[in-house]
Amino acid sequence: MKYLTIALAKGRLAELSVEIFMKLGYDCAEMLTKTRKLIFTDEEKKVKFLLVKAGDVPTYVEYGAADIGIVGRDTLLEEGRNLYELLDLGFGKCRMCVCGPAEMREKLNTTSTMRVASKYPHIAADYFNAKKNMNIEIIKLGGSVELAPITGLSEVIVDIVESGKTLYENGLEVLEEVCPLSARLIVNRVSAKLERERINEIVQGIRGLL
Amino acid sequence: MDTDRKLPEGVADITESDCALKNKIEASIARALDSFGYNEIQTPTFEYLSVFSDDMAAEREDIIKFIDTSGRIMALRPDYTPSISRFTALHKSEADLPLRLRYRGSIFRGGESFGARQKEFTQAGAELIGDPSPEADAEVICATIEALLQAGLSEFQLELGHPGFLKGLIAGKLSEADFAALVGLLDKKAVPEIEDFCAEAGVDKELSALLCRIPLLYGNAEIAEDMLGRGLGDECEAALRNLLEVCYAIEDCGYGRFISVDLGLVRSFDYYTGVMFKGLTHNMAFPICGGGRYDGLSGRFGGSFPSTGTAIWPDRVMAAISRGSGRVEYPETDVLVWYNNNEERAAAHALALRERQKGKRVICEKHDFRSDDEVCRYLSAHHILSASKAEKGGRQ
Repeated sequence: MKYLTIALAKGRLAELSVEIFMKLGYDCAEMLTKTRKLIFTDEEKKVKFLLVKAGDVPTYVEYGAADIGIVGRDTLLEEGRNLYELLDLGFGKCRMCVCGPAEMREKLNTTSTMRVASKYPHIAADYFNAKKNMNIEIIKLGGSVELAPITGLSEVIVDIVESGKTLYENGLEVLEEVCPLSARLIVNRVSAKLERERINEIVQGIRGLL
Repeated sequence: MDTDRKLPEGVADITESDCALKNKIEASIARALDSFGYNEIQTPTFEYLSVFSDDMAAEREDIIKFIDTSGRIMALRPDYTPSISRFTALHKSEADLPLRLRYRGSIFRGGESFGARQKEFTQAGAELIGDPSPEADAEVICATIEALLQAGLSEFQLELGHPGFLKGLIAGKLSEADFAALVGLLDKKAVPEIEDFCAEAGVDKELSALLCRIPLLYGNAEIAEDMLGRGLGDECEAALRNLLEVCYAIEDCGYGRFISVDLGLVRSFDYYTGVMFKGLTHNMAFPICGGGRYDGLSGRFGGSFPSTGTAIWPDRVMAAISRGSGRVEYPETDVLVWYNNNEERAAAHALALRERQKGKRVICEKHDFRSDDEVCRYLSAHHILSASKAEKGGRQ
């Protein structure tokens, strides 16, 4: 039997995903220990688990290096990959938002040009250009995006908001919600068909736990 | 910029060994389609943009266009089917039907150009024109399966769907833009998003529940049989029956184990009017073939021929084969004929010609083979013949 490969996004999502797979009876507890291994195998069930960077999960799944992946909807929207997005896992809940200083709230609907800093240039462009018909300048940043409006690099930011604490502490607030986010189960298009039974078993198993 | 030596993004050179394998695969596909009675034709590499762009809104941005010397917009063919449809309308009449045509050549698509997404692909395919029956759809699909088998693939699946199923379900309940959005979500089998979409678009509860199930309705023909007689409307019922008739015909032809059904199958070309399909195999994340029935397309060129066709991507078939089983060597030289000086040249070439006439691959060169290195370059040749002396020795 061929190994089924499951790619998990390193970090909190992987921990929550491992809990799910443990509940389904997969031997993957080793992933929760302090180890530098990136690949874990359940020999009995012929399943391999990979730990990859969140942004790479859709890539692994699209090209078939992994059959299944678990990753946040933010990554899927940003990467726009060609794959099946079968399940909302319900955990890792947060929101993609336009944030900035309070005085920008009004301007967001009156000005036609704006600089938007974000780790998610595609999501930001899609929201402002396609949904709001605004022609904006996107500034891609790698992290600490909250600094952009404070330092005058941009007027607003598009970023993930969980509790809003970081925003508050930096004098920013949520101005508009772009979309809700949560973890998704994604499946390679070919694997979904050629490994239908085994993948369905996993999908149904997880669905039963939700 | 070093544009003299670099290739533009999305195109590739093909080395000898890859080319040998590709030729072999293309020849096998051509032979298989030929064995079903399909005659090869050629159409131009570029044509007026209007040939390709009318019914292909989804593809329009993908087409590589240029302006010819008279100022008209031309398109490198992004797909063969419209060209074949135009060909038929231009050169054929009712009396020529049914018509079985096949083709092989490059197609060009811009747009995405990273990773495996090339801008120039080879496409080999066949079209059965003038036969509206489910048996015609089955024939084209069986020919495709046979071609893939002949090319050397053994494990693959062709998944079949029917656009009428979804169209029948929606039947005027959604605006065109909403329908397009729904098709996009179904293509991704994005169940959570379909749920949100239905709520936003005001789709009633019953239909919304069914739309959320569609992405999972794939497997054997029972999936389609199961949906019959559920009061989904005439169009749905007809689509399911047509899909099943094609499946049964394929089973009768002995190719049943290579097909499956996906009621959520949607395809980027919106010209499909009947059973459509795409082929999947291990080691290849993208479809290796695809096709379907497109009865309306010839109307654009002033014809009205029911048609069904298939297109195979030999590049992807090749990638799937070579990833599975390693590289294939390109053919070796059979014979090296060599001579020392111009006095021997005529004799050498006469010898080379005799060997070629026997069907051997012969290289004929002037040499004096003093060093071992020089001989080593030709060690792949099975026989080394000298024009002046007797055979210098052979290797098998």
